[in-house]
Amino acid sequence: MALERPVVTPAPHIRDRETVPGIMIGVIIALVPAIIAATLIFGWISLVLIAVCAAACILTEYFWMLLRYKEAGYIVQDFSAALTGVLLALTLPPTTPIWMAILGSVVAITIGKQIFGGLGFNIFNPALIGRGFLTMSFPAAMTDWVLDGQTTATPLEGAQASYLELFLGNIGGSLGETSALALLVGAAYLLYRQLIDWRLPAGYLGAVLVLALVFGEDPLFHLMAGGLLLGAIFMLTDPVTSPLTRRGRWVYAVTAGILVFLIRVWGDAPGGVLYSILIMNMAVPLLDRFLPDKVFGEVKAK
Amino acid sequence: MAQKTFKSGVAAPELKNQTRGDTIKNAAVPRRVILPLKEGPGDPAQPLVKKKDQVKAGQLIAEAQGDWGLPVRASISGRVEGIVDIRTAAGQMGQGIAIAAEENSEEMEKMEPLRGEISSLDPETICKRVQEAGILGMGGAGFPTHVKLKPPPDVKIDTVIINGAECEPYLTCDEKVMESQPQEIVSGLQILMKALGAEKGIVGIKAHKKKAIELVREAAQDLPAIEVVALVDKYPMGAEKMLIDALTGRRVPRGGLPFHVGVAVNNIQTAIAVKEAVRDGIPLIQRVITVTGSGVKNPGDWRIYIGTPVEEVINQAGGLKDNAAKIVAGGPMMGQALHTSDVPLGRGDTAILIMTREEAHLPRERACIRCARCVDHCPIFLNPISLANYSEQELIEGMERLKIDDCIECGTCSFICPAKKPLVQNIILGKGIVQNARRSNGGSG
Repeated sequence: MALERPVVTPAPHIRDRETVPGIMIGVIIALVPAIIAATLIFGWISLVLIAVCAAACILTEYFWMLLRYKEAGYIVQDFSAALTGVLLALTLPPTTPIWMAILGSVVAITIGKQIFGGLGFNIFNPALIGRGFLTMSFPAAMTDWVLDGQTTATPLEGAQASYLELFLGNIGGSLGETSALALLVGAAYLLYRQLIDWRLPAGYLGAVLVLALVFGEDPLFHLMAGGLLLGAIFMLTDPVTSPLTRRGRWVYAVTAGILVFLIRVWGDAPGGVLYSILIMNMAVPLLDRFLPDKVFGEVKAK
Repeated sequence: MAQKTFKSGVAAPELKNQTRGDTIKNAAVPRRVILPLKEGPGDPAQPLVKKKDQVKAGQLIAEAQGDWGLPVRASISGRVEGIVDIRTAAGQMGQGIAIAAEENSEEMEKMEPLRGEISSLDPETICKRVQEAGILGMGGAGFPTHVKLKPPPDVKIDTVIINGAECEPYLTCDEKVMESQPQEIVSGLQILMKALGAEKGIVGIKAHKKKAIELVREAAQDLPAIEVVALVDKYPMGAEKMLIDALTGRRVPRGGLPFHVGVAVNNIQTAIAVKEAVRDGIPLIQRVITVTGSGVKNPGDWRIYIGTPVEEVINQAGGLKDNAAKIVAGGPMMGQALHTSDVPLGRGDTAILIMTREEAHLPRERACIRCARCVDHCPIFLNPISLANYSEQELIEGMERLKIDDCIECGTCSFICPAKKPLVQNIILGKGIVQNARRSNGGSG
């Protein structure tokens, strides 16, 4: 008995179980502690904003996919748009109007992702493009911080906060950035599932830590205040917009860390994390090109 | 137990349970064998027999040509059917000698054993005997063993490694050989060490093969020059460069061979073939292969006659199941899918893997998200996704800049890719594109 029409394909004949949707869902799972923290600190409006942004991102992606491909449904099922929506929502102040969140989502997917060719081809982190657009268009609304029904400021803007408050997150700020505890739990999950490279948060946070020590700033404060942890764990590590090579990743992360410190300490505008990552996103193709890894058995040229 | 390893690589699923724990079964003499005249990189052998000649198992039927050539010896007794055009399971095209089995084919023509203490044997004689016996690397790469025993004169080999990693999923033949013939492996290693003048011998075995490690250790316990080392369970531990790095910490330089770092690597079954050729006068006409997968009725490890058609081996293992769809010669990471089972198995074939329709179904591709899993797991530290992209666009300069020639084609990148991109497949195509370009440019590379 012989096979009539055997399947013939090149090796390898087995594949790992991990898939692109699996990775996206994994990152969303890693954001669950931050989502819970946001809901506890800022109320149910957090969940509303997250759901609205996710839905708006998915619908925007679906619209563009309908125009570009026949199988829009298959592509949207990769969960990348949903993840962008959740990430964008977590960078917004709890007071953000719903229409503004929707607008940010549409911009994030359209300008941040689809005009470059969709998933995998975008240069900038789409969620940060959405957030950046809103910051520049509606500066007042994007710095309208509220905590327990009262207008407040963020610690970076001068509000008093103890280390414990910074760690737990009951302070003014964007939905997902305030609780260091929740973000670190998410980071542990991401590292455990190998969904992010440890070099990126290590280089970014390490640079800030060292500079803070050198310039006499409070390092613990800098690490926990503002969006640094959210950026280090979930934004800088976006695979699409970070370098492929290990050496490139170190330079990318450390330089972004230097930038965020410069902007925070000597800059005038808020959003150091946002700009540090977007600026370094631009450098990624160059880093990949000029900082290749040393291959096995490479010896110095004579 | 301390385990040694190399950097990166991947924890591939073992999938070995189907055939583990069982013993090696002896395959019946096949009705017909086809013995390829060319196996490995050497020249094809020159036939010494013609149609209707009567031959005996072990008889020399084709003479080795050139320094790298290997002779062909009849694996069964019978009558020569003729010299036919063939394609081996490993994919080599050429000619082969077909022999139809005749009764009374149990006896074998042997060579004169080399007697005396191993330490008294002459390296040149060992080397000659290894070639006469038709021995080539039995781990899959198929490099002639006698060539490995004759490194350039300015090279000093201090260490001989026996590769017992068997890192391809599904495969268990080497493991069972280690469990059943540990003493022969150690003797083979001693002979190889003597032939190369090496002071040290290492048998590297993946840690999950606990019984094999124990038995080979026992067999070597009175020999201080031989060490049995447990290796971390990951893929591609059995790749020569990775194994040498793991066991000795030496890295074979780019474009170099193991002898550049003073090492020679041989497979488990090669060591046994060397021992049998030298001490018992038995030529390489049989080997143990794994016949496995969800698509075959009785998976197991079989001692087969070289040249047995794949189909006959499958029939010995109970035949195909109804849902069988894919036949792979070799392991699932680097093996070749066959378009027909009417091909003979050579000395370097390690396994027949039969996959079902569901298993053979290729997952659908998605967009690359630049997750860098391929970069992080590549044992050679290449940039597989960029190489694959350059290959698709035929960007020769880019492929050369990213050192495409260094790829060992282990398939780790394609295996690990969450977007299910055909990375190693495109890199292999790219290698061909680069080589063609070099040839038409007058061979600058």
